[in-house]
This record gives sequence, structure tokens and C-alpha cells, in this order.
Amino acid sequence: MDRVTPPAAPPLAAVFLRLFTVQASWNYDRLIGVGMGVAEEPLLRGLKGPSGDGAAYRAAVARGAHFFNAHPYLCGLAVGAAARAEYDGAPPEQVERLRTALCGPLGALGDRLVWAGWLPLLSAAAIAAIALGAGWGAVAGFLLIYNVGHVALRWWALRAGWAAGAGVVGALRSPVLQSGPGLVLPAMALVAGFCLPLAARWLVRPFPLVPAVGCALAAALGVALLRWRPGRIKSLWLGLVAVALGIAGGWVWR
Amino acid sequence: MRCSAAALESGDVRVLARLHAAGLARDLARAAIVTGLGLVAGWLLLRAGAGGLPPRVLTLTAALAGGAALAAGVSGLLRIVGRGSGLRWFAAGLAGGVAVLWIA
Repeated sequence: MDRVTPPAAPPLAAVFLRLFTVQASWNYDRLIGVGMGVAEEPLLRGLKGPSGDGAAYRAAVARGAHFFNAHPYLCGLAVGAAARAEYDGAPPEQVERLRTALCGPLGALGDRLVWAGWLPLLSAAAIAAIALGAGWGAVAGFLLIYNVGHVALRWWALRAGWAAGAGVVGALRSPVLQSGPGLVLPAMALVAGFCLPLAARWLVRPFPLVPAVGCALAAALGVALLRWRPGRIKSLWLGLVAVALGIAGGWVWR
Repeated sequence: MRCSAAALESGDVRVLARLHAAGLARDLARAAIVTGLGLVAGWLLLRAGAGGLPPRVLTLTAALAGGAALAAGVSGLLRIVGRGSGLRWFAAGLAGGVAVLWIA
């Protein structure tokens, strides 16, 4: 493939907005591939060329919509890198290999950084703040900080992918991705541990003695059951059983 | 999806956009239906006199449901924290939380 000059002003904002819907067309055949193709398409318009036949553009769009799966906040890295590789004249097989190679690392990094780190860290901090009397300010703070963090991560990922192209491995060595989980995960564990007794106390405080003891027993028994048979006993069923027991027990107690 | 595979392989942008828009519309409909079902269920419970239940039934139900929610949260938390250094940080935080409760 020939090298094509990338657009001087790439439509990164349009791609960025489309990336928010990347999971909308999730399906078993391509997972988030179709959403990736939709997000990447504006960046590929420069491949239509002056002749306007659009063969390179259509081929790149088709590749962009192939099977893909990664963390939704980081898949912009793959979108930007694949689009840039198309302009740089990378052979189709190389673009496919690039996309395939990015699935695992982006999924694992995103899961550790966001689902196991950033989100529970801020949730625990917000719960602790509420338990200490911060009220709705804690909720607003959580929404603000969490969203600023993930929007910044999405934007950085897209720009880094577009800048790096096929050399996106260098972007994966960025301090954000390399040392981020190492900082966020211990912080999450510390704040979650701090939040737990405060949340339990806050939850039990309004109840008289008997329901408070019931609450503590339900919590202890629930943790034991969920840890004893993880996956077999579901939190939803536990909650429904607790509600049923509450209604039955309360009826007897009334 | 499989009916559109050939068009997708030819790089047909209109088919790509149509598939994605259909997915968005399905998400929107699913969210509206689930929200609607929740609101209707709440309204039906109120109409059926749930607010008039004996206070002890409501209190015990709220307490046990709260306990189950706490159990689900703690169980998920322990799974994320794992063992090793994560567990040590968790224990340190737990000690700090207990200390704050003690002081407050």
C-alpha cells in the first residue's frame, strides 16, 4: 500500500464523540468491532483520494469493523493507531495484526486501571464522605472527578494512538498505563478498607437494636455465602431472600 | 448481523452506520422498558398499600436488605482487593476507619 498524507486537522473530536457509543452495536460475531468501525470512519475519509474511487477507504472501513474487544475507555488507542497505520501505508495484514495484538493489553490494562482501581476508589471515597456527613456534595464530587478522569483517559488514548500509528507499543509504555494501576490499586484497597466500617455504621445507625442485629447478621452471613460459593450464589438472589425474610420476620414480630 | 456481513466486508459505510444506529435504538428501548417496569412496579406496590404495612415489617425488611447489600459490596471488594499487598492496604484502611469511628 502507498503512503497517504494524513489530514492536517484530523477529525479527532468527531471520533472522540463516536467512541462514547462504541458498545452500542455489541454482538457475538464482532463484539465491539462495528462500534470501532463507526468511530474510526471519520479518520479514514482522507483515504478516499483525489480519484474518489474510495477503494482504499472502503477496505480500511471494512478492516476497522472487524472483530475487536477491549476496555471501552482505551479502545480509542486502537482506533487512532489503526487509522494512522492505514495512512502510513501499512499492509492490511499488519493492520489486522495490530488490532488483534491490542485487544488483550487494552482490555487487561483498562480493567485494572478503571474497573478494579479508579471506579471503586472513588466510589469508596464518596461513600466514606457521605458516612462522615458530606451529603450530596460527595455524590457530585464523585460524578465530577470520575467523569473528568475517564474522559481525559479516552481523549489521551485516541490522541496517543493517532500519533503513534503502528508504533503504538510505545504508547502502551506510557506512565499513565504502566504505573497507574500500581498507584491506583493500593489506594483503592486503602480507601475501601477505610470506608467499610464507616458505611456499616452509617447503614445500621437509624435502626433499633433488633433490626440492627438482623442487618449485621445478614451482612455477615451474606459475605460468608458469597465467598463460600462465588458464582453459584448471586448477590441478587441474596437480596431477594433478605427482602422475603424481612417481610416474613417483620410480620411475625409486629 | 450475519445478513450484513457481506456489506460490511465491502466497506459499506451506510450498512455500518445502520447497524450501529439499530444497536443504539435497541439500547434506548431496553433502558426505557427497564426504567418503566421499575416505575410501574413501585407505583403498583404503593397502590397495593405497601406504605401501610406495619412499621416493623418495613424496618426489618430495610435492615435485612441493607445487610444483603453490604454483603454484596464487601464480597465484591474482597475479590478485587485479592491477597498479598492489596489485602495489607485494605487492612490498614480498615484500621483507620475503625479508629475514626472510635474517635468520632
